[in-house]
Amino acid sequence: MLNKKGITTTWFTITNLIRITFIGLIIVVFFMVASKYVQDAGSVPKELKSLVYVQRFVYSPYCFATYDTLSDRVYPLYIDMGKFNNEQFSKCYNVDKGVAFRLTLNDKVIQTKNWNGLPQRTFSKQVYVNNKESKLFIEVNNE
Amino acid sequence: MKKGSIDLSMQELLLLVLGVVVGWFFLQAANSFVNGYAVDKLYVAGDEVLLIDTLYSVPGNVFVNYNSSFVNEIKDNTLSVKENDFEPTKVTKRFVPIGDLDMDLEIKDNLVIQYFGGHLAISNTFPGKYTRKIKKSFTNKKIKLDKVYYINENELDIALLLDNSLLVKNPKDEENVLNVFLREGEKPKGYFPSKESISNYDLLQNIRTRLFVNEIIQEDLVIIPKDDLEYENSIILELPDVIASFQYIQLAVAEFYDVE
Repeated sequence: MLNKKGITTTWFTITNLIRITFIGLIIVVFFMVASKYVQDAGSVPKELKSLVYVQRFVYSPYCFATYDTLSDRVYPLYIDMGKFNNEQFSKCYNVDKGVAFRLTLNDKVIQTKNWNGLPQRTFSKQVYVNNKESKLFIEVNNE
Repeated sequence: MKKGSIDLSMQELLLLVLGVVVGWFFLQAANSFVNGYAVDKLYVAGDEVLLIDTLYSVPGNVFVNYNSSFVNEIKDNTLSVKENDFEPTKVTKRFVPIGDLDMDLEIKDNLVIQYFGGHLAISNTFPGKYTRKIKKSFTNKKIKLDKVYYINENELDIALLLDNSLLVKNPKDEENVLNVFLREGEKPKGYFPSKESISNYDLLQNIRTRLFVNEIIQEDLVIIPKDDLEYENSIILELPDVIASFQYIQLAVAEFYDVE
């Protein structure tokens, strides 16, 4: 059986628990609203983000761009079909979530690990394969 | 005073301290919004992450000095921008590396981002003097310039400096390829946020060069350090003899550089 002191202390604890919970809720709501406002204010256009990644695919020798060991030169936009595979794609675009891509070049199809099979947007980029013009078809989702 | 009432006062004191801490967080957040820091941080974080993602597109090496008054925290493929360690409105953005990136660091003020040999390194100081090491296979190559045309897209109405030693012959398709460099101080306008961001480097140049009208032969980019003294063997040609398209100037490729 609780004495008077015990009852007072328990009531104080309960009251403060309610207060702390209430303040906690206000804090969470405050930062959620603030965060939403800030995120909306400065978000990078999703198409720009995707474009930057696509440039990586065709410009970087660590993705699909041709690297000539003889002259030690990189040939941006000149695609090395020997590197155009899923394994190289995973190294070049190492991501589990975020923007997903599926690329098609000369009937060969590769995709990122997080590709879910539902393209939201499709566009193409002119590249070169064996010094001949070719179209790289790019499908994007989860932008 | 009874023992019980002392316990109660201690609890009230704890509650008061908690209230002060919470209040301080609110004040900090309010201050951040009122002064615009919250939005600034978001823009800076977005900009820096976009820059890092763009650097991975560069088909060579690049060094960028990014001036920022915030604290930058890079960890687990994310970049956070904050004013201090205890602030409630820090902004975190994710970037996508090539391969695995094992990085856990915190940098204040200057952010020097280096993309070298396919690897990203971030610090707050430049690592030292860069010198150019030209591969022997690139020397003593000649090209014809009489059919090359200059496209003035960035108001660069200037003479270009051609480094004769860097003119190379493409061994694949037998087409001649040239690298065009701009001299110190002749940087394209409007691409970088400020001249200071590339102050330690002379121009990153060029991307598209053409040997025949409307026929793109090759594109690439080069950075030249300011302290490079190997211009003695270079030749200077006045426009319109020299032609280069600046249409696709990106960041930089320094295929001929190495860290001393």
